[in-house]
Amino acid sequence: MVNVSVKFPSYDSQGRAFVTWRPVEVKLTLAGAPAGASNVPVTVSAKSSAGGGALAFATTLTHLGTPSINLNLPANGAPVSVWVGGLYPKASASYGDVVLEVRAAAGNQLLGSQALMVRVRKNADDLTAAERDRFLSALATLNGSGTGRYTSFRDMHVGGPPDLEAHGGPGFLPWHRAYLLDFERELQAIDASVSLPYWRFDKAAPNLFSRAFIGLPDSLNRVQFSAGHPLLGWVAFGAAGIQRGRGVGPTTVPALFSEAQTLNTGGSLHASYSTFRNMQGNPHGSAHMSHGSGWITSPPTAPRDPVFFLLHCNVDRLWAKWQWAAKLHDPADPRSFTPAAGFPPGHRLNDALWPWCGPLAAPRPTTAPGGTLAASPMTAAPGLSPKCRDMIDYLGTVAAAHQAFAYDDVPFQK
Amino acid sequence: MDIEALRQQYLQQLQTEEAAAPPPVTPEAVAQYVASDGRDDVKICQMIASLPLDRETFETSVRALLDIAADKSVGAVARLAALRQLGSAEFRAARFGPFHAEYIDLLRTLATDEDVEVRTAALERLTLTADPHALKLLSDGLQKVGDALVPAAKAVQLLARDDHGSALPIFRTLATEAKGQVREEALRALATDVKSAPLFERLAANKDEKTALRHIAAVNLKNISPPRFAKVARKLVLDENEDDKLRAAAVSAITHTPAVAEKVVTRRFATAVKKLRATTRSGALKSSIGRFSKVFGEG
Repeated sequence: MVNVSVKFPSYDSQGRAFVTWRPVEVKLTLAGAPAGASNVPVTVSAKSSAGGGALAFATTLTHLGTPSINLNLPANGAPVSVWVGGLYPKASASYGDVVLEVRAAAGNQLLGSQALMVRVRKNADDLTAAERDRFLSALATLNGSGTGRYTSFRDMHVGGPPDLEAHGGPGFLPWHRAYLLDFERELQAIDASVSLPYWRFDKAAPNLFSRAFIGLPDSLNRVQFSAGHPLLGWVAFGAAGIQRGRGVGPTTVPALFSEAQTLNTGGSLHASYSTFRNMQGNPHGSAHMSHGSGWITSPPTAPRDPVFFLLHCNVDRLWAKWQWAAKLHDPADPRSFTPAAGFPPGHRLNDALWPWCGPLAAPRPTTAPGGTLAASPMTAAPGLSPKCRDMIDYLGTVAAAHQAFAYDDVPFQK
Repeated sequence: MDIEALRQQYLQQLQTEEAAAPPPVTPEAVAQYVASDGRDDVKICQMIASLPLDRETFETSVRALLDIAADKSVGAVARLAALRQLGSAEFRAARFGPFHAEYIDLLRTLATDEDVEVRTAALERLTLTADPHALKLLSDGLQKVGDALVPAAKAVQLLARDDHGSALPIFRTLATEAKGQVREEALRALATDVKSAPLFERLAANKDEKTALRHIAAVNLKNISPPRFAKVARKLVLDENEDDKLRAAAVSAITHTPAVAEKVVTRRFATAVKKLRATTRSGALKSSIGRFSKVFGEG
C-alpha cells in the first residue's frame, strides 16, 4: 500500500515535533509504490483544530510559504524536501492542534501525517487557561523545593562580577537572551508544550496580574495566589513566598517607554544596536521598578520573583521586534551589535558568555553556576557555550541554524 | 500574509505612536523645573518617568534624581518617584557604579526621614542587599532599643532579608508570642530555620490556628525537611474535616516537589485522591487534584 513517511529534522524523546515561524526542512518519502510506477503527485497541507496552529509550506527556506503545496514524490523512494513553518500569526495552543497531512492529488487519500505544535512565546495576558496552567505547573516543578536547577538561574543573576556580565555593557541583551533560552529549555524538559510567556509592560495586563496567574501583593507586599495555585509553595533563596510591591495591579499601565518609544527615536527606527540598547535603562529598568519595591526591583534578588522571567521575555521580544523591523539579524553587520573595541570582556561580539562558557579568571566570575546551556531536542543552536554573536540571529535568518523559539508578534522574514 | 507589507505597516505605526507619546525629558529640564516657583509634584513625577536614562544623559539624569530624592522641600511623592527611577538606573550597573556610594549614603539618611513612605522605601531598598546599617535600625526598633521606623510586621519582613540569620532568635520569639501579621511574618522569616521544624509541624497540624499561618508553617517545613512535610501533607490531604484550601495547597506541593512525592505517592494514595476529586465541592481542590493526576495518573 502506498504511503508517505514524514520526517522532521528533529523530534523530542516522545517523537513529537515542534516548529516556530521559521521553517524547517522536512523530508517526504514515498513507500510501497509498485515497481515501475511513475511519480505520485501529492498535496501537502495542514489540518488545524479550532484555535490551533497553522502551517506554511515552500520548497525553499522563505517567509513566503503557502497553506498548501503540490509536490511530485518519486516512486523510487527518493526523499523530497518541503520547508515547513508556522503560518504567521497562527500559533498552537496545545500539542497536536495542527497536523501536517500528505494526500494523493488524485482521490485525496491520506498517505502520511505528522501531528505537531507551532510553539512560540506569547503575550502572557492572552494565554488560554490551559496554556497558563501548563506554564505555572512547569514553573512550580522547576522551582521544586528551592533547590536544584532553579537555584542556578538565581545564582547567575547576582551582584558583583556576575552583575557586570549581565548588565555591564552591550552584552546585556545577548546575555539575557541566552539566560531566558536556558530557562525555557528547562521548562520544556518538564513540559515540552510550554514556552515562556512575556509581560507586555507598556500595557495593562489584567489576566497576568491576577491571583490565578502571577499573583497580587497584599498590603505587606506578600504575593497572594488563588487556592490550590501551583506557586503557593514557591521558595527562593530559602524564603517561602514572593515579596513584590503594589506598583502594578490588573489595570496599571506602568509609566515607562512604550514599544514605539523603545524602537524609535526622533521619528524613525533606531538605526543601530548602539543606540537601541539604551532601552536597558528605560523601559527595562523602569519595568523592574514599576512594582515599586520587592525582589523584582534589584538585580541580585529579581529572579526570586517569577514575574522577572516574563519581564525579561518582553525585553527580549522588543529586541527581536527591532531586529525584524530594522532587518538586522546578521552578526557581521556592525549595526546589529556594537564595535568590538571599547567594552569590557563579555560584551564584545566574539566574547563567550558566562556562565555557559565555564568559570573564568578574575575580574570575570570564577564560578559558573548551572554549567552549560540546556540542550534542546529541536536544535543544536546556539551551542552549549554561546558567544554574544551566537544570540543575534536567533531565528536563523542568515545562519543555517535557528534556536527553536520565536515571538507571537515577530515573524520570520528571510 | 504579506510579511514585508506588515513590516512597512508596523514602521508607520511606530512613527505615529512615537509622535503621540510625550517626548523624552532632559535631566536639565527636570532640575530647572524642580528649582522653579510654583512647581507641582505630579508634574515632577511625570518628568521623572520620561527621563530616558540613555547613554548620553545617564550621569546628569542620576545627578538630578539624587538631588530630588535628597531635597526635603520637594513632596514625598516626587522624592519617591526619584528613588524609583534611581532604582531603574541601578540596572545599568557599570554606569551607576560611580554614584553607588553616594546613593547608599542617601538611602541611609532617608531611612530615618520624617515621611513614613520615604523611610519604608529607603529601608526596602537597603535591605535588598542586607545593608548592615538598615538591619540595625530595624532590629533596634523591634527590640524597642530605638525608634520603630516602620510597623513591626514590615520590620520583621525586611529584617528577614538578612541571609546570615542574625535575627533568628527575635523571630523565634515573635513566631510563638506575637499576634496577627507580626506572627505571620516572623514565621515566614524562619523559613530556613531547621530548629523550628517541630514548631512548623505543630502549627501545620493544629486546626485551631488560622489557615494562613498553618500554610506558612507547612511551606517552611517542605523547605527544610521534605520527609517531615510528606507526613504532614499526607494527613492534610486525606483528612475529610480539614480545610479545603490547605488540602489543595498540600496536593499542589506534593505534585510539584519530587522529594515529597516519592514519600507520599503510592497507588493507594493516588486512588484516595481520585475519590476525593469526585466528592469534594472545592474548585481549588479539584484543580489541584487535576494537576496531580496529570503527573501521577489516577490510581
